[in-house]
Amino acid sequence: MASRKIVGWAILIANLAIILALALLLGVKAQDTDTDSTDPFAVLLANTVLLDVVPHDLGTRTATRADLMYQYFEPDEDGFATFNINIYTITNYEVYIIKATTVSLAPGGTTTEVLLDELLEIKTLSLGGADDGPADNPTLQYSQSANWTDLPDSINILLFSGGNTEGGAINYHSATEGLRLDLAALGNNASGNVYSFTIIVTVVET
Amino acid sequence: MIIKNRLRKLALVGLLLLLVTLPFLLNRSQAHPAIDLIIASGGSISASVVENDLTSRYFAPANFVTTLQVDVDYQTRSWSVTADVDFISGPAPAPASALEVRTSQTVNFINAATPMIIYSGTGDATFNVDYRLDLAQLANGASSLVTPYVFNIVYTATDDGGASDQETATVTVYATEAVRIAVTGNPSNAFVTRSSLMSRYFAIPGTANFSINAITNYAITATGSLLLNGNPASLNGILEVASVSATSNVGGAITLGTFPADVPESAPGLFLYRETFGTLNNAGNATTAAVSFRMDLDAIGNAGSGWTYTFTVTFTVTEE
Repeated sequence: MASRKIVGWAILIANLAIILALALLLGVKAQDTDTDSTDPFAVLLANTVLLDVVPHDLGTRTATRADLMYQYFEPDEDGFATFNINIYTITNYEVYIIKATTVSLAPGGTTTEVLLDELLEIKTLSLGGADDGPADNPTLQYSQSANWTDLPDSINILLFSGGNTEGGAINYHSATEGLRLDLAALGNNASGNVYSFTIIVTVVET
Repeated sequence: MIIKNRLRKLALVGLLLLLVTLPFLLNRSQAHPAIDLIIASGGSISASVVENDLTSRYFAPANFVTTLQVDVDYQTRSWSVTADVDFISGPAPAPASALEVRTSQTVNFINAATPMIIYSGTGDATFNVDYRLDLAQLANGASSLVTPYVFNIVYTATDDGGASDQETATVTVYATEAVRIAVTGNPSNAFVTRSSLMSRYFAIPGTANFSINAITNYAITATGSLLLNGNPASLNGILEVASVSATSNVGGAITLGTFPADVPESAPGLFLYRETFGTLNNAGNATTAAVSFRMDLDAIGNAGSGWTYTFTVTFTVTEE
């Protein structure tokens, strides 16, 4: 009985010795820490879309006799002028477009039966982004007018829309637009009349 | 006859005893302490350094005082008391000069790493010795409840007759807390406007500033949290540390992390920098840092105008 007790005590002491040795081996050490926080600081998204038309000056064109053989004044398949719509966005968006037309009459000139809303047509030639644009972001969504579409004076039309995915996308998209003139909508004109167009593009957060 | 013999033996024994003890008796009478130095109180002092103590260079709690009493036999002899501070043990070696002493006669605290006269007088006297610990000299001391810094102060009183006496006091300091951080400045609130959208990253104006008080090597990490329109939301890489600027302690060395980098939401956090507290010659134990942030507009997905992203950043200093 006594020997059992001695063995029991011996085992207990051996265990304590092992625990102590392990503690020393593992280098039990206090590690003091302290924390402090900033006050909350806020960033308000005052704007989520930015649009730039590049270039602003699309130049001046002249329709001559040779152009009269065709319905559309479009020196090449991209029309007579192209421009870019650059968009910086951190949201889903829609791009609307409208034009304003002014006519300068030639001396003694007149104009009648001109269909202003059908005179100028627009087509989205390409959509993309700068670095890390849609190619790097296959889930980015566009809808677009890939065909020639009337660009009216009287009402904004939806040109295309884009999405910024929840996972985030580099916030730069770019569209290239082509313009052509529908000579059939010109009605009755005098040579020397000058049609001036101003195109207004609007991006709207959706 | 028997009695006579016994008396003779007794006398012999007595003579022997006298002969044996005489040198001691003579010596005692000759070296009787004409000056007696007594520690009246404060012979063994103990104190703990906690977080708020780290904001001051010197640690001098109220109980850091030893009262010494000088008792003299010759009231006309002049005497002086020297103090000699020795570093005995601690979590890291500390110079004896880290513990400074002061009496009403030294006026200021003085370094007594080598014996210095701290008080002199004539006749009996009682005076106090104050101590303060220069935390800047503790170098890389670990926080510890177990292993304190121990200093001995050996006091020696000597009179102009050559008599002297010596006593030793002990000051024990537990570096219970070794690091402290306090945020002193916040980034500003800001607006993302159209022109901001042309860049992927929106630089948040202002910086988060904080100061560190440490008596050890340390590392700083940052975690963050986001409220989107007032509701908890995932940071998800939206907030980044753009840069960190930290001023080193004198003699210390700073190692910066890599930036820009996302601020994570949970521990261990983004490593900002670590400082090796360095030499024993530090002038002070406070360093400051400024952290600038930017917002990754690419990471916010499909946001709405008018949305507000509210960030809070928590900095943690950890003893290393």
